[in-house]
Amino acid sequence: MSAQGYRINETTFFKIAFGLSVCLLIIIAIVSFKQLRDVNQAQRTIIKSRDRQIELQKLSSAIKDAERMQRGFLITKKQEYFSGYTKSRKVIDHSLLCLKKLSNRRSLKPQQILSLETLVKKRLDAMDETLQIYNNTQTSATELKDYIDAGSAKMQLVDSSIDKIIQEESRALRQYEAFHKAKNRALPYMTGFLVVFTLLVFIVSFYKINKDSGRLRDMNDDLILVNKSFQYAEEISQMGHWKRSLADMVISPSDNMYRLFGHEPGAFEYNEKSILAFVHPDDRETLQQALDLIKAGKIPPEMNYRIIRPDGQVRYFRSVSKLIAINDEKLVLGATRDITPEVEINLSLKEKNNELQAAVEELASFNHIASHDLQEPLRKIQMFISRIAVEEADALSGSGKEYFERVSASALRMEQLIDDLLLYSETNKSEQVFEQTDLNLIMNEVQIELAAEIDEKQAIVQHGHLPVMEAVPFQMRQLFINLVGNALKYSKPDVAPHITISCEMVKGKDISDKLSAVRDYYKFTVSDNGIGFYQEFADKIFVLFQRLHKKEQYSGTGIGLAICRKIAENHRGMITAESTPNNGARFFIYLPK
Amino acid sequence: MYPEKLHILLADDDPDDRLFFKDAFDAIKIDHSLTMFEDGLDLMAYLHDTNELPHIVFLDLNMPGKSGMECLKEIRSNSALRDLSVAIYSTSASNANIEDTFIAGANVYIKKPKDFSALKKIISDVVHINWQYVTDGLNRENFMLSY
Repeated sequence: MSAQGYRINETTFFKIAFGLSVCLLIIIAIVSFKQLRDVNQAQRTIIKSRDRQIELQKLSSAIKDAERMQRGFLITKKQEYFSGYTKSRKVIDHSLLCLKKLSNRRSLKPQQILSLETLVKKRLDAMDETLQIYNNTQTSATELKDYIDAGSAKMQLVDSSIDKIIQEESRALRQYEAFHKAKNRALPYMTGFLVVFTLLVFIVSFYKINKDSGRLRDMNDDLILVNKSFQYAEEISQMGHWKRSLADMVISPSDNMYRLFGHEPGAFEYNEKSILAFVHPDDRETLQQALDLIKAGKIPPEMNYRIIRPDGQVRYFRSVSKLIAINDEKLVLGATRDITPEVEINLSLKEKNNELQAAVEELASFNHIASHDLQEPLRKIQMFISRIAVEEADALSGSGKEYFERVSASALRMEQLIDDLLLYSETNKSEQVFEQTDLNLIMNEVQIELAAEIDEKQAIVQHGHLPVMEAVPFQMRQLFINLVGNALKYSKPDVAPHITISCEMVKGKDISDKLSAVRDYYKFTVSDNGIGFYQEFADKIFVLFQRLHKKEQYSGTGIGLAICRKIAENHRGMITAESTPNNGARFFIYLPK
Repeated sequence: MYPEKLHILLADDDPDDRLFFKDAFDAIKIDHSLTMFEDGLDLMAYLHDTNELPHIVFLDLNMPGKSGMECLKEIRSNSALRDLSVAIYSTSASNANIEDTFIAGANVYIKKPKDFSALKKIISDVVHINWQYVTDGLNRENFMLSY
């Protein structure tokens, strides 16, 4: 997952989880508050109902107390009963007052209290009346008894009224309780469910946070590792990088930038001025120009400059930079590399190159010496030899003549050597013109060139169809002259030489790793029926001045095949040989198509 | 054809080569005159001075002071000397030298031989050559004389 994608998904998830949690908590809070309020309300209602019932019972018992005291007074005439009666009446008044306060619209309605009060008043009036009658001495016992009976009947009315009210109150309470119970039955389940759901959300969020923090930790570890690797990579590759914000022009370098300047990371304040102070005075202007370009929002070209480290060491730096945008902030990113080793190698290579150039020039002047200065005295020696041989022959003794012939042979050999050496050095020349060369024509020229030897040895020289190819014509001629000449020279004394030249196509990779693996090559085979040689000498014969035979046996300078190898190499090919003594030799020349 | 008596010049800085040339010239027993110079400067001074121009000039290429090539160019660019027959006579037989002197207008190119009898034959041939023919049919094939 990409870092950005990760961030977006996480944020959305946590936003949803947070919103959900807050909603749930608010719902739970509202529900709980409402429930608590209902419970409070119910409690208050119940307490009030109980208060009313108690007050009613108090009223009932107070009326009964008053009746009891009145009767006691009527029977005993004792004053204390009378005062008990008066007290009870006060209690009754108080009770009625309390009941009035406790009344409300739902139960114990004010009119109920009023009717109860009326009944109680009637009863109390009846008792007062009885007492007045009793105090009036003229009242007969029968009359009194009637009053008492009437009072009892009224008392029963009061009692039944109170009982009725109490019963109503109880019923109302039970109804209220039942209603409440029904109403709140779902509430605990709902609260429970909400709590469980909230818990679930919390658990999922916690799990996710935990998992994400693990992943973040892993990513962080990876990032640290990448950072560390990058730092080490910069250190071992002698590289550093820096960023320059185009908004505030502040340069932030990597740690290794400081090391490149020969300091520990953060050892100095990294800015334009401090960098320029390190730069070699001769390169300061160039770098200043580059820095000015960056400030103008342009990218300077790749550049090299020198800096001087605090220990006086001069180092070569190469800097490249690029304009990039990160989070809409434009900045220039640059990479700087210490290229001192490369520069030093380059310098030493240049030096070597100069030496080589000098050596080549020396060789060229050596060629001149060989071509002219050596030829001249030799020619004069030969001239004198020819004159002595003609004009002074008679004056020489027998052994003198023999020595003189050897001098002549040596001079001839020297001439051959000089000529061949010249030929060899000419194949080295760089100004070789490659052109389309018809090798069939070249072979005809070769046969004309060697006509004398071919005739002399009665040799048969045959060639199949040869290609037209890109080559240096005179070198190809030399190559085949040398090879055919070689075959003629090393023929068996009593057998007419038979030399064949053929050509086929091969793939470089099938032949040798010295050839290009992807190219096609012409493979020329020059085979003869001569004396051949031991295979172990097959490589040696191409080395300059290497000869396999004594000079007396076969003439030769040991340069011819070396020239062949040189020509093959000039054409980006190679030459090999294969032979067994007395079985002829085969030379293979591979030249690129 | 030339008149009976030919006048021949040789410019060569090498005393041995001058000796060989004179000996060979004398040996072929012809009644021609030979004048020799040690370098190109002397030769050109003589040519500019003389009233009687030679018939053939033999020029060595490698000479101090004024090289054979310089002499050749000077001769061909001078209207009085332009018609002289010039034979290059050099140790070198390098393609470059042959090409350059051919282009500069030399009549023949002779590689100094290594054999005295060959030298005699060359001088004899050159003296008896039909110069009119050589000049007319000037081409690379018969420019180079080798023995």
